[in-house]
Amino acid sequence: MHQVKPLKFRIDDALSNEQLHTNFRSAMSYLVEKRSRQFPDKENLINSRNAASSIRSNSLAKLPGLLIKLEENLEKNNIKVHWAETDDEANNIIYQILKEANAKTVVKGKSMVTEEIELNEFLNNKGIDILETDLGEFLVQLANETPSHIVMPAIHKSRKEISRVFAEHFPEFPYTENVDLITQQARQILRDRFRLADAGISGVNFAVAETGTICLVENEGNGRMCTTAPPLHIAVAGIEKVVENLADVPALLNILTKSATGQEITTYFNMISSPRKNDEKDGPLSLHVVLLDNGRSKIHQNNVMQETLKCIRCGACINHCPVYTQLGGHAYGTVYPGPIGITLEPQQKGITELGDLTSLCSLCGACGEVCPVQIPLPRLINQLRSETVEGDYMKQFIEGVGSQRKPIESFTWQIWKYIYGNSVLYSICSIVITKLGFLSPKRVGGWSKYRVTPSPSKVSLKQLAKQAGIKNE
Amino acid sequence: MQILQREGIEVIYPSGQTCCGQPAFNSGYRKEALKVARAQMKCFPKDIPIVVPSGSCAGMIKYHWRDLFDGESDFESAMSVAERVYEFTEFLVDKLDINLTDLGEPTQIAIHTSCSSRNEMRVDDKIELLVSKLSKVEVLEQERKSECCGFGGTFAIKQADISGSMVKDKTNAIKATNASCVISQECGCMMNIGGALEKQNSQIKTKHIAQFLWDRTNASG
Amino acid sequence: MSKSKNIILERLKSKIHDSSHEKDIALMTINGWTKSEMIQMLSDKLKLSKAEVFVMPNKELSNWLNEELPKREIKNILSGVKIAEKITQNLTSSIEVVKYDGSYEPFSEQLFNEIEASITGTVGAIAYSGSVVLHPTPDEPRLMSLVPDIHIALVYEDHIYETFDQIISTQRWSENMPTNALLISGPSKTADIEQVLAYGVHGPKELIVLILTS
Repeated sequence: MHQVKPLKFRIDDALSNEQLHTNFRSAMSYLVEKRSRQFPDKENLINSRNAASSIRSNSLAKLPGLLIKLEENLEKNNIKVHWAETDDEANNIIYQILKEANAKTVVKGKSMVTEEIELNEFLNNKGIDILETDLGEFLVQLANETPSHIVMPAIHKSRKEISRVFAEHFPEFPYTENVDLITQQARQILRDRFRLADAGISGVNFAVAETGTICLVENEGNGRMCTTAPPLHIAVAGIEKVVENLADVPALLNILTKSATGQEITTYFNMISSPRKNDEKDGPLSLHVVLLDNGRSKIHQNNVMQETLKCIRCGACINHCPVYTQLGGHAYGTVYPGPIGITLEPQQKGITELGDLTSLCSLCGACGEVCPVQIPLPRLINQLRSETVEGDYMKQFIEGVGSQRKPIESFTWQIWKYIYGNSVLYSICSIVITKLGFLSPKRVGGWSKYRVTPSPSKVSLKQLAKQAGIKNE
Repeated sequence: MQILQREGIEVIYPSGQTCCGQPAFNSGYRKEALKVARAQMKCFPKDIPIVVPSGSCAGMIKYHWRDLFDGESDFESAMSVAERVYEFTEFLVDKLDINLTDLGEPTQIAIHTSCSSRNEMRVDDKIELLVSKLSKVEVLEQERKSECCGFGGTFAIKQADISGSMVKDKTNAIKATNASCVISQECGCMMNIGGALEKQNSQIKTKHIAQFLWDRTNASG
Repeated sequence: MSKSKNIILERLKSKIHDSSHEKDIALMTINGWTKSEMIQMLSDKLKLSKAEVFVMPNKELSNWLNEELPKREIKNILSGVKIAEKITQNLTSSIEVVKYDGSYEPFSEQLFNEIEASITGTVGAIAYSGSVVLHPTPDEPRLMSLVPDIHIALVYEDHIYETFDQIISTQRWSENMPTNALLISGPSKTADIEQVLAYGVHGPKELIVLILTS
């Protein structure tokens, strides 16, 4: 676990970084525009979202049965299945598989779930070399950082920064800021790694219970390299990734790629249903799937919050979040940033540690509008925010409910409740404020840093209405 | 109220009203929000439309009271109030099909549609429609016009710096249009944007749509 | 760890969610496009993704290879046994046809470092998304369409479908999934550096689709 600065400092760091602001401003505008072009027809979009939402809801409603079926069919296909309740368990399972295969070098495709369990750090500590192969993740790994976005991991880095990192690690190549050249250099460097790796690790976009198939989307080809060239392939999947039928896949694939990167479809859609069969010439000889819980089953039990698990990790909510645009991914300090991050991670890691993340939201609602599977993110975030200061039902599912309740804040709202809950009290206060408006402070903390402080008017609306002869009941 | 009266509507302003409960609700203090929201209900007993000159307050009552009053004994009464809510521009367009004669000088404005008017009440098209009825008003569109201005109620206090950065981007976009005035359905956004513009010594005025319509149609410019 | 499996499943089973609502797959409408419309749409979409597309009668295939491969300075081409048989006779001697006829391991160095292009069949194509569909076989293994810099894919005009749903249901995939099914919609690419598109990252730098008419 990396040492993280307190949230306040991370926010300050992000906001004072002009370069970051520029990078994210343009990147988010680009992604928002791209997505919007894929959905020119409003009605079509509504239908697509309804379909995707119902497929995901169906998966969650039947989750235990589907997971059993998935395991059955994967095993029928000669794919070994492992269940991990915690991140530690998942790491140990993966390590054991690698150890048994005597695998020392591993290549990895982009996978947020492996970031979640901090797989790279774990394996490095065990002396296993694990190389990120998605170009963005590769660059982020070189820079010794974590991804700042779930689909575009190096989005926080400018071309210059990338060129510098590249040149530092690969002095044999001439320094260049030409994107094509850097890309070709990366291709060259990674080809031998793919060919010689002992194992490949990937995530899973969809796991089809009906046929025992795991599906992966990608544009670069590194995912296919990791899942096809090495003799051993380990796929890690959150338990919520299962879908019932093969027929469910096209609708989800379609809206996933359009929502994530504004593409009709990604360059490759890879559907794996078996390791190398006896008569085949290539493909992994051994194929494993690790089903990861890591808090998901608890979320599933939570009637109010279980829709969090519908997520297909497209990143659209992140791209449209005005707060994320200002902060970038690292300020959140979590694996998943943006709206889905502040909804999911406090449920996984507890409110004591992460409850304050729920304040990173102006409740603008943009995320809810674009979520392809119709997760009511604004509603869930607001609900979670409420759980940080008081709650009962969710205590059984989330650690730290009520732990962020502060005496001063609580007291303020009590006062507010008494004044605003009583029209006589309110009238008195209203008269006082309008008459003594000249006493109101000219500076009110954070507000006044950026704006002129409003001062109370001399007459209340109620009085104006009365003066105008408008009835009062 | 003046505009409604001019259209021949009998307006009642229940004097006992205070607040829809949104600030507390959005801060997580639902018990407190409920008490205050409940106190509003007796102010609106009659089965007549409730017009709310704010998209977020309208949205709170119409869509969020459902969550707030969930499981409460007066849930049904709360819902009957919620059903009768109209945001101001929604009422003017959908219920009154209002006609407007522009008596002002030619001018250029920007329109700021609030997040709640767009994503909750879905009345962002109403303000645009009303303005389009004013023959001498030209609307200039700012970049990223559907992005949040950063107010978010208590968000502007709790995460003041993030909010400040958001309103800076918003005011930059508005200033780039060279509009002389920015109008909105939302007082909160206006306080935010207007306050920021003023702090930046900008000449751009901020007006609520009601004020703007009244000024344009009332021969006072 | 079956202990974990039980813990996880117990927790999941303890919650009975309301599954009364029907799953709505919303299959995309089939427009009833003609063959030439499909070819046009497939072709347009592939070209947008920077793939090259050529339409030709089946019997012209060898001629095309004879002309194009030397033009592009391709000196060898990897092929499965079936296609190798089909094209070897008519191919000019300057082009070496390498057969992927043994297992991957002894062949890997040659595959990665020496093979310049590959040619494979497909089980069809999808017009809506501009994708060719491969079901690798013992004859045409998985890495053929991934490792070489240039991949040539043969699509028969009768096997072009409107949508992904359509090919899945018409070809009854769910009854018999191949070990690896692939949708390929262009040469490999990335936009990871300042959202600037760059091609030929890890997969083929060039995808050439030959649509063969009868």
